[in-house]
Amino acid sequence: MESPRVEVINLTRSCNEALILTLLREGPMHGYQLAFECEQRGGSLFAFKHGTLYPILHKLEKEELIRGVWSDKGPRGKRKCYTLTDRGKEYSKTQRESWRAFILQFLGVIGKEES
Amino acid sequence: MNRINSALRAAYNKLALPQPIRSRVLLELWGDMDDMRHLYIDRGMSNDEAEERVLERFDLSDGALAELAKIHCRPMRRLLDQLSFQARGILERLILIFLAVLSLVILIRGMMTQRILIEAGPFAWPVLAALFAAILSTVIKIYKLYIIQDHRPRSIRRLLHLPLGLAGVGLALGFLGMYGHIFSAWVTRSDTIESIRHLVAAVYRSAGLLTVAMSTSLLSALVWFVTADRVLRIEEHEAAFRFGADYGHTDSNTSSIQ
Repeated sequence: MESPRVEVINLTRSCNEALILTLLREGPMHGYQLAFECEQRGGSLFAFKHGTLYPILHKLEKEELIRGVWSDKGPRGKRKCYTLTDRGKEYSKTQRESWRAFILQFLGVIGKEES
Repeated sequence: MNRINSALRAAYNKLALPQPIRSRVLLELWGDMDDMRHLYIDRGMSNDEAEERVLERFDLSDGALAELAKIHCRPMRRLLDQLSFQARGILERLILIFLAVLSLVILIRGMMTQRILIEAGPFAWPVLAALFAAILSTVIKIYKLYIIQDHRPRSIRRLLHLPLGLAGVGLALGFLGMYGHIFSAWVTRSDTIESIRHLVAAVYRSAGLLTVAMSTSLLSALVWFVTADRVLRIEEHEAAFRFGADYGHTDSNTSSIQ
């Protein structure tokens, strides 16, 4: 597994991955719930379309950072729910640190230009 | 759900992925779209408004489908699923039935006389054990699929490809045994007649072993086909039931995303 770091080239994708992993730290969620939560917490800034969401979810599942579990216990039949794996928890933790470092560096640059 | 179903049907026919991945991806989308629609209705929207909003949020564009196809396109799985799809034609089915009957006849005849097993040597027993395990796992699978009809998504694919794996193991053991027979005869060779006789006997044993290995592997692969084909059909029906997609794989006339 690659060590998590913020890729400037794929900034949007990295950001979406970080958001999804962070939300899943709070408990299992369906795909649409993740999108809702992102939107509610981040306002329109993080209102990504589901066409973007599912490829990210499936990629993270393939990398075994999250686990998708099918359940038919709900009122409306089979649904897929995502949880964070142990590997994902570890990854998310280090990724958060990478984001902090990235933002600090970024602000450092912005600040220098302003002064 | 008419508009949502239409959008999913279009996506289903465009998404060039092997089963069951294609059905699973679309079933996941269907489930989430349905839940989201209910959520909007609970918030006071009409059904039409809710559907429109859901479709707006779920961007099932060609680009998004291509992304999904790229992620799920694993060469091995694709090949396995395509194998059972290809076997759906009448000609392929007839060939498979013919091969199954032929290998069964060869195997049973050989076993009846017990010559083939004696000639094949000790390597034949693990090969037969692999066949037995393949048949046993298939019987369990058939029991689950047909008798108790356990079609839950979690368990429907469990151990499905085991008989095919065991077919590979049987074949590998056959070749390994052949190598063992010939190699041991070769390293102990000398200029005596006895040695040449020994070498010829090793080749003879190897031929017997390969016959057993190939027949059992073929049988294992065929019993795998029986269940794999059934599972694919169940998953396709499930997808069709959910969002009314044309079940069957993407044909050449349909634009496909890969």
